[in-house]
Amino acid sequence: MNSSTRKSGRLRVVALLALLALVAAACGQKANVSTVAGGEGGFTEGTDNGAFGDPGEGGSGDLGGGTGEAGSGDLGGGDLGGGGGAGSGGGAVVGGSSGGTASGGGSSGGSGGAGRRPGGGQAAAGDRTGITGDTIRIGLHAPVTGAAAIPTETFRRGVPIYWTHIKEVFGKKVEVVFRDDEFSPTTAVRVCREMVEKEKVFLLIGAAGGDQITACAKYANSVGVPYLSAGVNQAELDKLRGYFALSQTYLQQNIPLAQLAKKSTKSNKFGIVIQDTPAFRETKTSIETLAKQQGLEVVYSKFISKQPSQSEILTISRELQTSGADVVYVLFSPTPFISLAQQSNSQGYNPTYIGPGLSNGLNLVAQAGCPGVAGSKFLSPFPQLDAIDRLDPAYKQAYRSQTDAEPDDFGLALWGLNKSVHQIFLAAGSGMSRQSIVSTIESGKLFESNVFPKQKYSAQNHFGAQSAHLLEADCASQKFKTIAPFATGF
Amino acid sequence: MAFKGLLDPVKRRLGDRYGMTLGVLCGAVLTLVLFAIGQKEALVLGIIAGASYGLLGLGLVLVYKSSGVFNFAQGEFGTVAVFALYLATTNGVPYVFSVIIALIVAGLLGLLTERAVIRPLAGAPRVTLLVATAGVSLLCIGLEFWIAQPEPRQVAAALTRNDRVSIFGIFISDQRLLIFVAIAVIAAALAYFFSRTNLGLAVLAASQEPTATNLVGISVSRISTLVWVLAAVLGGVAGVLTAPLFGFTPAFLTSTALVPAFTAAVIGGFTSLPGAFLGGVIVGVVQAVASSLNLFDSVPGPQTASLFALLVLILLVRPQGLLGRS
Repeated sequence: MNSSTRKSGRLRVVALLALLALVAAACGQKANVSTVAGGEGGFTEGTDNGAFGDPGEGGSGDLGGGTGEAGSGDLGGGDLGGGGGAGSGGGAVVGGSSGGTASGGGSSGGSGGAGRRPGGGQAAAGDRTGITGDTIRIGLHAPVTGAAAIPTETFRRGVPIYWTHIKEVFGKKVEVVFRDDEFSPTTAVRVCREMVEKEKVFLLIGAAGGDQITACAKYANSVGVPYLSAGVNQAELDKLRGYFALSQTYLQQNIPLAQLAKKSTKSNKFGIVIQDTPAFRETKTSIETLAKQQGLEVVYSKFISKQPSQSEILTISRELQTSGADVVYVLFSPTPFISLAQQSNSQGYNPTYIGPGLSNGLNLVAQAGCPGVAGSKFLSPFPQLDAIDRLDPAYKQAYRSQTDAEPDDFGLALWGLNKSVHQIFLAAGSGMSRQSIVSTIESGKLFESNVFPKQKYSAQNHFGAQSAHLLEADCASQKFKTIAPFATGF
Repeated sequence: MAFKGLLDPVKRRLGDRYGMTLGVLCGAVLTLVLFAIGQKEALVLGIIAGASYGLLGLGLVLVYKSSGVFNFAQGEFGTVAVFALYLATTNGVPYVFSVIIALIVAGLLGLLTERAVIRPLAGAPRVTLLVATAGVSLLCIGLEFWIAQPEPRQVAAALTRNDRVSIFGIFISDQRLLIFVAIAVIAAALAYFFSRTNLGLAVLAASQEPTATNLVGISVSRISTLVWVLAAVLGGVAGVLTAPLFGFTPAFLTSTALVPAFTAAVIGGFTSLPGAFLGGVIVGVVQAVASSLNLFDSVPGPQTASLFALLVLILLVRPQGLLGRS
């Protein structure tokens, strides 16, 4: 074999490898790939072994007399019946599970639609996997490596602080099993399955990342494990009986954000850049519509790759500048956001960035992104460190007493998340089961932690958070400041 | 194929200049098309981004040209250098010395890679070496995450003025101009090294006939060490020059530039140093156009898809790359 043939062969090998790398990269970015990997076989599709019933199809009942279709709970599998129909007539709704016998509570007429209904009766003894004589074991996943990584040590340090501080719940210690989902939906499903099947956790919590939360929530729903997370997208999650958002979803945050954009703009020109993932398409449509309703001119609206190349960042930065947008809505991970803001800053273009979510309001974004991110405003489920002493002075004291480090905002996010979960445990009572947790949350009780927003859910609404904290990047201190705690509008 | 037959007389007539002519023609057509469809800014943005890819691609070409290995660790040579630069500058070391330290660290990593991984596998198939370099890359990424944590960081630029040069309203910062200067100087120096110096010829000889090279008294293992150290330093230069423009995290160059740089090197011809730059520019321009054309709005990941399409097209039409030799 001569040299040229060998080199040609090598070129083919590298082409093949590059092709494989591209395919692998592309697969990693598809939210639904993980779903396949997760192997949903539960009640969501109405097949078998589900623990919660699904909401039924919408019944279009007459005023006062409409009857929703039966929910699709599983034969013998669930303790809670299926949700009722989403009929505009709000008739009686029959629980779908043959395991539960109680009928759903349909509203007695009027125009109130019956959506998700706790149709089935609670079993006398529900599934208490994860609760033993002395511990309650819960699972938590977050991306501490991968494209939108967050500092591992800081995060791990913050995980147990709240539960160590409160010591016990119903005489039991709460043990948090933590897994890194690597910012990959496929990995998220794998680690969630591991936490459910091997670690036997009682419930699962997703800390951040829309695709990962969606993938893991779908898996959890399919095996009857309650799943709580910071609010992300609503698409797909709104079909899951066992899922609840502990903070506002992107769609919910879009309403005040559109108002904020109107208030912040001078040119009335509004730009939108959102991560290219199927679950965020509803968010893009929503913010475009809301901005137009506010009278803003949407001059730029595009998706950005999950891991954008340098060329893509340069192009988007330039296009935003050319569009004249002076307020830009961003919904993608911190690292490319910082690159975009830096690149724009180097071109003399410094719009006000606004956005929903949790990660772009972290102090590390201000530290690494200033001066490009100066004046950025993000809604966040938790306040920043400047406001926490007013809202919950126990946080900093607990953090300092349990660690050698100074309190940080990762710890604060976890503190708020765990505190919200604690409120739910207390409401569910000492005999709580996976099923009673769901029905307790759906009962309409108000949960108040004074860190995360107040939450009030119902069978129809699993996105019950009512406000968010508005944070602003202050480049003088290289930190985010809380400029409007528990904001509901601007 | 009829298409190939059609070009045969042109190929014979142009000889070695065929690839270069093809490259220039492609560039000219691309430029005209971009102007015609109102994407002249994409040309500038593509060249700017392509310079970074080309700079990283130079190291890839150097290793391939010298040893026939596709080096997947090239991005990490650069990222480790950036971390070294960051550590040095944040600890008060003057910038110039910090850069020198960063390049020394990169060189040491190249040396370590050659001694610990490449040399023990010297007789192994090239594919094994390729996988080994991927292993080095993954190890470096793991260590970076472990030691430095996945926080985004900023590192100072060598030159800070942003508005000296403007083309079509796009400012080209002095740091970016420095990348162009670096790529030109390095490409010219390497081209001279390979074509005009005994050592360069020895490197090529060691790549093509290692046994014969040893027999004439040239130490192939020393040549290998030299090449890997040099490649790592080039990766370090790429990292040190591009990180200030975007900020960096662990795996910075591997995640944002290695695949485009590989594509650039393949397009340019994996044995051609100017080809790495030309390929980088083409990759940058195609990505910029894919990002900005509304035509691709409904396509998920248009940049990756366009890169893939381009790679396949080039390999079909000219497998040895635009400036490579078959």
